[in-house]
Amino acid sequence: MSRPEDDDGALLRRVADGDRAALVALYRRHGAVVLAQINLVVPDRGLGEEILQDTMLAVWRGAGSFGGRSQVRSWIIAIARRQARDRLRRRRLRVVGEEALAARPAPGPGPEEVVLERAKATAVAGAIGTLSLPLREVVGLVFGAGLTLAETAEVLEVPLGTVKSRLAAARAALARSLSEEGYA
Amino acid sequence: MSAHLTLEELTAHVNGTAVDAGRLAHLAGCPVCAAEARRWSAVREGTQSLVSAAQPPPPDALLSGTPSRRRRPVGRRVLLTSVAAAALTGVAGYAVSLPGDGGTPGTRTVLAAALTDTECPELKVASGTLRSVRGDGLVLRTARGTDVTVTTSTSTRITREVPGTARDVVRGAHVAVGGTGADGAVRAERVVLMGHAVRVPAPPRGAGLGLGRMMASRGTAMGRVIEVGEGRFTVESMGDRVQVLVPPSVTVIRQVTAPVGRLEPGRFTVVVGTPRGDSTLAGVSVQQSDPPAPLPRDLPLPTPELPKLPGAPSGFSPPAVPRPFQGLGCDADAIATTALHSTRA
Repeated sequence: MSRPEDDDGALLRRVADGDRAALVALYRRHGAVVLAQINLVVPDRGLGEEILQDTMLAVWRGAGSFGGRSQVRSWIIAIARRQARDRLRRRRLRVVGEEALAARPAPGPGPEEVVLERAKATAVAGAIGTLSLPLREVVGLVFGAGLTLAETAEVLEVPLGTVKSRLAAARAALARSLSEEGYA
Repeated sequence: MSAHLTLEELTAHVNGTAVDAGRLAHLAGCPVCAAEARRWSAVREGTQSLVSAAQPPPPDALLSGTPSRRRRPVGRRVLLTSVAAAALTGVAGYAVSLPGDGGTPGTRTVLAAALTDTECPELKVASGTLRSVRGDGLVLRTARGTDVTVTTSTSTRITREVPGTARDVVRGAHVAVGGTGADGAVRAERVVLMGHAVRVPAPPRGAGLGLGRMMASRGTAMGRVIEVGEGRFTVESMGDRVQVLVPPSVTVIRQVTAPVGRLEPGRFTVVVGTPRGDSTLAGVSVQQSDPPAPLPRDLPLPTPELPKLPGAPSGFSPPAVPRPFQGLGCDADAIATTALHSTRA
């Protein structure tokens, strides 16, 4: 029985053959997840949709180069990240706090993370938006795109240990943020 | 007690990926790990709400930006063989787009009346009993007695259903389940394993959560298998996780790719394609079912009689019933699968 990864692989092969319907199928399957990931990086929704379009065009052109060493979804998201960075660089937009916050040491003990269990999903979503870029990205890839920690490390081009520490830092930051909103 | 779950295991579990049974047993008995799982679950739910809110624009602009691509060149030997075969049979081996001088206005009207619209302007649906098959296509007789001539090509995706076993249901498989509702679960009578991921029709606006559970109460589930156990599996169905109980008597059907010549006359068949000027339908996706004991005649999508929500204000109107192919856009395979398992001739 085919796995989802096989299905995506077959679709990508058809895209490489010039099958637009296969590209549409991939877009429908992964577009929301990819756009959500782009939105975590790019402040402008309209720009985000343009980057999504650029990403799918890059998939159209480069489908034949997919080596099959990762999930198709991971591959598409990695393309989207590069597209986003290129666009932001051209527009001379800095993604807020990326370099500075990535180097910030882990904070000390914060509020009990039980606050997470009390918060509504929309509140958690709002709190994710306040995280630094590295933390937003890792949360988006693991829990939005459903990638494993190893796949996330590959997409972000960082060590696995960095992914783990960023996830832990993200959760602690979310707990602090929600506590300040009164969920404690 | 065994070691606590690792971060990899916790995130996999929260994301619905199967985790080793022994580790699940630890999770069930460890308050520390259970708390961790709940907290990561909360993070996941918040992230998923961002995904739900991200609504990509329709693919029309996407398609208009894709330049034509030459298909990969067919090997010379394969091409010559195809041409030779076509010459021998006297039948074109590939669907040809004819100019609009073929067919009369009358025949085009008859064809149009036999087809069902989709959200995609180019794609229509024909369903019925397969009457005949030939090298370049087939003829379908609809429930109204209209014959629809379908042309197929090398790009037409054709599948038929063959018997399978419960062992074919594995994590990641895409299934349509028919049976009876049983305390929030579905007791399966028939499981169809799709050969590809199938999009389910979009729920009506305002339907909110619980559509999958509602369908389960009526004995139906459709989606991706996220967990498999002894005598049961879990399906992510319309946003809900639905348990499916698999008795030994269950009928399992697999959807497999097939050449047009393997389709069997007399079986229920669905074609999604593009109407041509010569009153034929150029097939994009052709799917044939396996008799007997089909799924219920109509997939029990929510009826207009949706239960009143507790606490809903007076005068609250239930959301509109979805059209059958709503939300499937130009996904011909998803449209065909929906039609195959929603209707019978």
